[in-house]
Amino acid sequence: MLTVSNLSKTFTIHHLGGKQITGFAPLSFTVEKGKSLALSGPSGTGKSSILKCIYRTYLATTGTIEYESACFGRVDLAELPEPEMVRLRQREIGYVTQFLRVMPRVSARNLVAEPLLRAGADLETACRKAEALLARLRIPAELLDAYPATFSGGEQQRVNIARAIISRPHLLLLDEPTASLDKASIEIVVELLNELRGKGTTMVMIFHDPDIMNALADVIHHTRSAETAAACCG
Amino acid sequence: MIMSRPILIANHLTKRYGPGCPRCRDHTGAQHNSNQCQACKTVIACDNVNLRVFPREVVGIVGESGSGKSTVIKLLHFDLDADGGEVFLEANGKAKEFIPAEKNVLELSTFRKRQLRNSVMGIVYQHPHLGLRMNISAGGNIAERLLMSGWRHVGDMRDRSALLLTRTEVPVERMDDLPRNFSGGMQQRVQISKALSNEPALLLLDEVTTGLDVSVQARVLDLIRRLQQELDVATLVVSHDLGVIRMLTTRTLVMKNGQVVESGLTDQVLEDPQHPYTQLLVSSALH
Ligand SMILES: Nc1ncnc2c1ncn2[C@@H]1O[C@H](COP(=O)(O)OP(=O)(O)OP(=O)(O)O)[C@@H](O)[C@H]1O
Ligand SMILES: [Mg+2]
Ligand SMILES: [Zn+2]
Repeated sequence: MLTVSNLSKTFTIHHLGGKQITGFAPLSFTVEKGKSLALSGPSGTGKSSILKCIYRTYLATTGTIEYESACFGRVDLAELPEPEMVRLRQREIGYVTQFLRVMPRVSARNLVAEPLLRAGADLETACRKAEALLARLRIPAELLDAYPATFSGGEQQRVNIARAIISRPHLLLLDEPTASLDKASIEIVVELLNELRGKGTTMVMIFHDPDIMNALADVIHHTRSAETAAACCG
Repeated sequence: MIMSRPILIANHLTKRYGPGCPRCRDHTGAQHNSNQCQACKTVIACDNVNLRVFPREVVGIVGESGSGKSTVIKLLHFDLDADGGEVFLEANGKAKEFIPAEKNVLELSTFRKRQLRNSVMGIVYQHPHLGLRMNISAGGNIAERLLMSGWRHVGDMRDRSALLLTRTEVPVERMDDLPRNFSGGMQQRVQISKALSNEPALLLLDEVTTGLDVSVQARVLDLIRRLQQELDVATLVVSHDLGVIRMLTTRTLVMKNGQVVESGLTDQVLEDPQHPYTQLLVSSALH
């Protein structure tokens, strides 16, 4: 489903005279369809940057990201033309972080329904599904029409997760989406994610909490700093 | 799956003010931090710009004042004549009959250009007085636009104007008032109504919120986002405001000194900018 080969990221900061900053050292891994891979490693080894490269929020410096797309067949996400990448984001690839990055002044219901609408669902169905999912995530019904910008951190995260999983992406990228959730909410999220996995969603994830990681991951890939990588692999 | 064809393709779009000389290239562009040739004083307002807009897509152009953003919009809208380049438009409706997709529309006659513009494009300018006639009523402004795209029945036009004004949240009671007496935000709403009146396939927005109060800005942006979702109209958004670009667009081009220095998915341009100028722009916007 997803094969990352020799992927690396270096940032060039022009106002510092072209200073090079390593995002992460070259790495390779494969995730089979319906399996989940956890990225695990010390802070600063570029775990989030890896996910951002897969989602094309960052441009890869080296390497390829081969992805088996339902829309386009086998493609390299590092090089896929932008309009196709936009299509994949709308139809196949979800990405969720601990930060709610959403539009101001859009209600929780509409925010969560939006991915379904974009994929062609009718308004009625999309809203009903959004409501059901938010209910499962224990978002009180009276918050459905409110703007998530005013929600608590935990509520925002649950809205965020709902938005990312509602359309059942083929590939789901998770970057600590449970960072400020209580135990009960985390259990619900883990359950939802496991359901998705059972239905064939492939996942690449970052969870600092080893319990969550173990509950969700089939494989663990250990990330290393650039120095360690260089020392060990020459 | 095969991607649909772009609704708009612009290749090597160029606009100069001045005679031009063989050395213009050596003096202008982002690399030289100037759009004016020192030798012949020609201003290269827009130099070799390439862009594509796909159906339903919202593409942004961001850049500092004078970088050529409005020039690109005006060239596409035939407000200005290009000095070079070609533009292909996927015409819809009536325009399809006289404009084949493989025709460079910059070569059309003035008459055909006007016809194409009236049936395919809608534009909202930064300054309402460019897009609206201040001394005829709001409804009259819209009706005038409808007339140009072939409407004839007065009652129908009035109904359509009322509907459009409602959609853009302008009180219908104000339909017969002069835009001159409207607030800035309301004038922009009337402009938006007018731009959408012919159900354009391509909407051009040039700094629509610049100069408005922050809260009014927010409401106009919300309106555009909502209409965009409802109407699925391909849109080109020009703004120097990264917030506007982030909120409205999926892809972005960055212009400086008449040239496109970078383009990409909007979140990528904002989070992993490649060009020195974009890096500066992003870091100064986020402090
Ligand atoms: N009629 C003209 N004669 C000479 N130079 C012109 C003319 N119109 C525009 N220019 C120049 O072309 C360049 C691009 O102008 P343009 O209006 O496209 O910039 P812009 O990016 O839209 O800027 P802003 O953000 O201030 O609206 C500028 O240097 C401008 O001074
Ligand atoms: Mg301008
Ligand atoms: Zn010159």
